[in-house]
Amino acid sequence: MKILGISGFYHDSAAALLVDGRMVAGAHEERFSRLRHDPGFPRRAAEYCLDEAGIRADDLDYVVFYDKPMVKFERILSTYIATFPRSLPSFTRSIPVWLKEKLWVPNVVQRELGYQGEVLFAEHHQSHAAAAFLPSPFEEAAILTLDGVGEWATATMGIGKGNRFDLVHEIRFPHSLGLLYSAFTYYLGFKVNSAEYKVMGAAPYGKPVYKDEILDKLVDLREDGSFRLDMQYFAYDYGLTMTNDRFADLFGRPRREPESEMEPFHWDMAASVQAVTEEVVLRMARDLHNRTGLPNLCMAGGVALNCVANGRVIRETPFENLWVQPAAGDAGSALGCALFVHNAVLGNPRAFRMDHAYWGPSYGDEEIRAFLERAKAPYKTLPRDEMISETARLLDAEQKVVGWFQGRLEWGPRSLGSRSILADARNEENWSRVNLKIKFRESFRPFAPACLAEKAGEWFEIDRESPYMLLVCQVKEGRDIPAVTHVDGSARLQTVTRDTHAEFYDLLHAFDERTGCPVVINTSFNVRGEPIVTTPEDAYLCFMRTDMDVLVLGNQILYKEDQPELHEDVDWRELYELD
Amino acid sequence: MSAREPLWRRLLNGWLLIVARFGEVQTLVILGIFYALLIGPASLGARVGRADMLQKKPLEAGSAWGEADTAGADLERSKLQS
Repeated sequence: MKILGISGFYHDSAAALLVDGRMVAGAHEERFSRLRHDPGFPRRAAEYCLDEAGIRADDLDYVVFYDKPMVKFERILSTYIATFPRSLPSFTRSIPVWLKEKLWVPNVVQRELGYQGEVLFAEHHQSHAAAAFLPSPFEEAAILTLDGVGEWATATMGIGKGNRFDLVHEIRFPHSLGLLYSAFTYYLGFKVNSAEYKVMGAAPYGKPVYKDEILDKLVDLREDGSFRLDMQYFAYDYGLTMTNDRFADLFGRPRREPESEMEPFHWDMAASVQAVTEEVVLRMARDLHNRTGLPNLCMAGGVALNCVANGRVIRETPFENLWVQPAAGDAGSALGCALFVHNAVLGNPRAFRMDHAYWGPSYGDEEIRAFLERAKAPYKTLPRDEMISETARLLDAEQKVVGWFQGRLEWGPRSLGSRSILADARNEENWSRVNLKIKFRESFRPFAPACLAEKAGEWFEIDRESPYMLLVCQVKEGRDIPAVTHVDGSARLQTVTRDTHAEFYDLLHAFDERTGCPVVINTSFNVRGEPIVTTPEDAYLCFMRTDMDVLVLGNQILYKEDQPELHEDVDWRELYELD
Repeated sequence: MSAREPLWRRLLNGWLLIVARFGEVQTLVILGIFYALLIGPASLGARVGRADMLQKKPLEAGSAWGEADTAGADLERSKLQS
């Protein structure tokens, strides 16, 4: 049985393909369209999935869409009714899009993919819950989903067992932890549905001095983690912004101008909303454990990408095990809705356990060399082991910043060793060097470490694997890796095993053999505002546009000093909107 | 350098720009009328009936979790967009 899952028309469109219940391929549309968080129909991602499996759209048994458009539309109309007449600007902007496309999903699927069969629909949080539980390693688990909003639900809790799950409770729009976090993201001058992770990264620089005020005025938080927001302070239910003047008056400052300097107030505000978010998630998790008594917790939804909160769930709640879908946002729902239909709706037993996140396209050495020849880019091909040892030498002895392109593209927002920029984590200068000269992003943003899984416990305060960079833990005292150690001593860790990515593991191993340090900087292979690179051409362009020193494409190594100057008709900085 | 476009093409492009802008204004006007005639009365009715459609009234004691309103795992329900 072949089922294609699709998420789209909001943000982070994606497609994922199941064959007989096992994931075969999955990809975000942005990686092909080169438009960050691409909200359109994921045609290219779906076509890639079909190509990877060697099938055509006609071979599919079902296409599944990740939410129920009519219910979502009902919620939107109800919101306009409840907020009349202030909702007029939002109404005039959104209704044409709904009437043109969003209400006609089966027609769009037919038009874009040439698929003539049945299109099925799962609810938004069913898709999240399915993406969290069904590919998890647990036979039975508690489930918590937290995001901005789907149809009506913004958070759900439930229990999964075998091939089914039940969502028991929900919190409904406009009361939303995800939208609360997005409101502060907006207020702090960052892009909503895009730059929430910057708020998380900014939080350790401040103190949560506004936490009590947020809980007193904005969030009516209950002991069980449930809450209501005081909507007098927010505008997202009726307007085109997230917060209103009353919100700004409460904190005594207008919204920060994007790209302006971050002041102590802004760091404190980021710390405060992060503290509130952690408090809500912890209370919800504890309550869910009280209700279920289960040792395992599965999480998905955009809020589950908050790895600081995830780390605290592991450390401070009775749950013994936590599994978070690596594509926890809406992209992962493409997989979730397909699994929901295969397992829960059609009753098939679970056949898929997600133990890695490498589900996108790969490019062999021949394809890579063909591109390099066309581009007239000087390179040398090395045997695999030499490629590994030479890369480790460049990272260590020459302190080079390396673009690393190996194997299948990652599923989810994190680069996990397939499309990564790597540098020596022991060198503090690499923090600012990679941020400012290669990624062209804000200097405060931290880098994540990748570490050999078997040595993670020696370098970090962690007792489990973190293969998807979704847990934050403390760097062990005495371990000197300043380029990946945040100001509060924490790190957003990725642990690497040989089973999941042999080349990346072998590189870390070779680096460890040379230096006695099994840790490197691992940041996404892109510049600010650009989606992670997909093809060798994307990687080469990113390499040439930045101060990256070395590019490793499969077994091919390219040195910047050997490359001819890149001539482009357009300024690439204009291609990518800053987030 | 690309060849200069013929006069008729430039005139056509100019005309299309004008009608596109006109269409945008027309769309806004029509949507505004719909908003006033459909959403307005519905909103009035909701206010008269004191409906709390977005649960904005302060919560009294207890939990803010509600019963989940999910469709269940059923093939016929999965065929529906609602």
